[in-house]
Amino acid sequence: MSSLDPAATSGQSADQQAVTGEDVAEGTSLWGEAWRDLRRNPFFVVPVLVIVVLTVMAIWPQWFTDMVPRSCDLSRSADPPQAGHWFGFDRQGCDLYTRVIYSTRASLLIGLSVTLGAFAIALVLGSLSGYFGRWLDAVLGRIADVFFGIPLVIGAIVLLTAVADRGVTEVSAILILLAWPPMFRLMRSTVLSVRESDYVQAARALGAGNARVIVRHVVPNSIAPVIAYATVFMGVIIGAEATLTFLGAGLQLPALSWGVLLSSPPARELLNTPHLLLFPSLFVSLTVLSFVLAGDTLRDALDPKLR
Amino acid sequence: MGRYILRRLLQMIPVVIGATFLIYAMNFALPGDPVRALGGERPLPDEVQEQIRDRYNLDDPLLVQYGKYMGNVLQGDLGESLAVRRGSDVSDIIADTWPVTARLALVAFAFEIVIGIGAGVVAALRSGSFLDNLVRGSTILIVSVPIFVIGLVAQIVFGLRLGVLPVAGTAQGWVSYILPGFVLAAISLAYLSRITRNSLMENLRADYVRTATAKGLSRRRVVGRHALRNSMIPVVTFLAFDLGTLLSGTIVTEGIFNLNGIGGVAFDAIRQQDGTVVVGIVTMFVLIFVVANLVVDILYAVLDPRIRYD
Repeated sequence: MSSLDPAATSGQSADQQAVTGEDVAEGTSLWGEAWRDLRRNPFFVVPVLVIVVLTVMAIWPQWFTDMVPRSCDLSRSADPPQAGHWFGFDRQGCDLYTRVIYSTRASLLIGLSVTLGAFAIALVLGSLSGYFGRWLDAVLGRIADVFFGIPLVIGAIVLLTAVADRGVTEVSAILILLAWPPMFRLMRSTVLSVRESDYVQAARALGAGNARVIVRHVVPNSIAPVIAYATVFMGVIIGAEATLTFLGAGLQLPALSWGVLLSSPPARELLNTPHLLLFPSLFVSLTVLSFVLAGDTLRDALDPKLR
Repeated sequence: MGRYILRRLLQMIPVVIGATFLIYAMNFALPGDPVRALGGERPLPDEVQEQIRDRYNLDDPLLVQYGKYMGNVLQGDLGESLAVRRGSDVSDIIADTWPVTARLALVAFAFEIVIGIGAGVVAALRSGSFLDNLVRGSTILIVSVPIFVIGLVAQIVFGLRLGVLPVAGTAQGWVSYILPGFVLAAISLAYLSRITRNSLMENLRADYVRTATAKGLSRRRVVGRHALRNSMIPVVTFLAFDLGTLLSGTIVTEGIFNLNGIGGVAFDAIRQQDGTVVVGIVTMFVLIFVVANLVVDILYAVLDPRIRYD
């Protein structure tokens, strides 16, 4: 077990903790207690349900609509919402509802891959930097400072305009590159506070090696705030993708994402066709809101000081 | 203190070099030939291409290119615009446009501080009340809406439907800055009021606040002079970090409201792939951001006498 990479094992042990916490009626572990609080909290349950629906929508969009996003009728360009076409039509005469549904995939995929990427970097580098300290901490800290010095959206615009073909992979990679430092700093600081605790000393006294101490003791006990932050972060990234694409530095047609839908109508036409702005931005906002709320309540539930 | 500032200044150097190099390298070192692209369908004469390559040191290795570029930047030469305002110096463009951005940022900061901190204080003083829930609910809603959507909606509602504020441009002086300033501030304002609320609530429970109340000080004095001052430390940190968001925000806001500021130029430059302008402006933004964070670190010592630097 100790030879596995920290990312995989820590996720597992966190899961195991959650499961055992649920099985034991008292719910003594951090995750068990958090889960007991959270499942009664509507501000956690409702956003999570919304996220589940959105995930299903991203994987099987055809379950939500009979129409195809690219079969369009120019004669219905920008027609307002009507029976059978609740969201109206976009400028190419495509059914907007269908296009919004099919856009879910790219938007969520970017959010998910950037969050997982940044999370993995933060987990590995943050625990190494916090645990070993000294020169490793200094070097990693300075590298993080460099990326921290570049504001996310501005940096992403510059780096992305230099990329000719921008798909989900390119946009995600650039966002991961720029967005990991805050999560890294959070992970590092929680590892620092866990490193000196009694159970870590005890594990070391029992002869556990560094790898085992980090993977079995330090990471599982310092990962909670980072997971909560990552949940909020996923919402932030989905919003950032929409903004980047609106500015012309994100995904490009014919890709479909909420940002693409929002960036295609020229602003001056929106007065007469507000549905082109309303429905895609409603989906963006609902998604971001769900992740922010879920992450916020998760953070509060995982914070022992707030009990 | 002096030594601390010096150390921070020295630490700043690798950050600035790293960040600007990253941006420079990505923009100028990618496959494809920007000089050839300038000519479009009809290729430029070889002599002209040669001249442009020479002007931008494009035949040098990347590190040398970057070194020469930064050397020029330090002398105030950010290169020439290739598309947005072809032929004019990037530094001249920035000199022309910064007053608009400065005004916009000032208005946004004013909104942020007055409404953001105000709402946070009200929510903290009446925690659990309707007002508190209203502040918490509305801030989380605002955070969820992308800034350009807020901008477009504000434009449509206040500018076109109600017609109370100018839709775009800067023709009407300070009044023109109200709508874009508010849009630019909206998201930061929401975060700020949440931070103010949490920080003030924490301090209101502190022992020294109970002592101050026990001494018989008025509520106003207890909150204003004791609790609020101590609650401002995370708020000030946030304001510095937020400058990055605000600078990114000017690109969107000035683009939407057609303001002729630095962000508006950047917005056009991105759309027209004007590399020198983009890199020049972003390099400046990074510098501002890093310096602002340094200033806040130093301000800490003034705000919080418990912090000692050595």
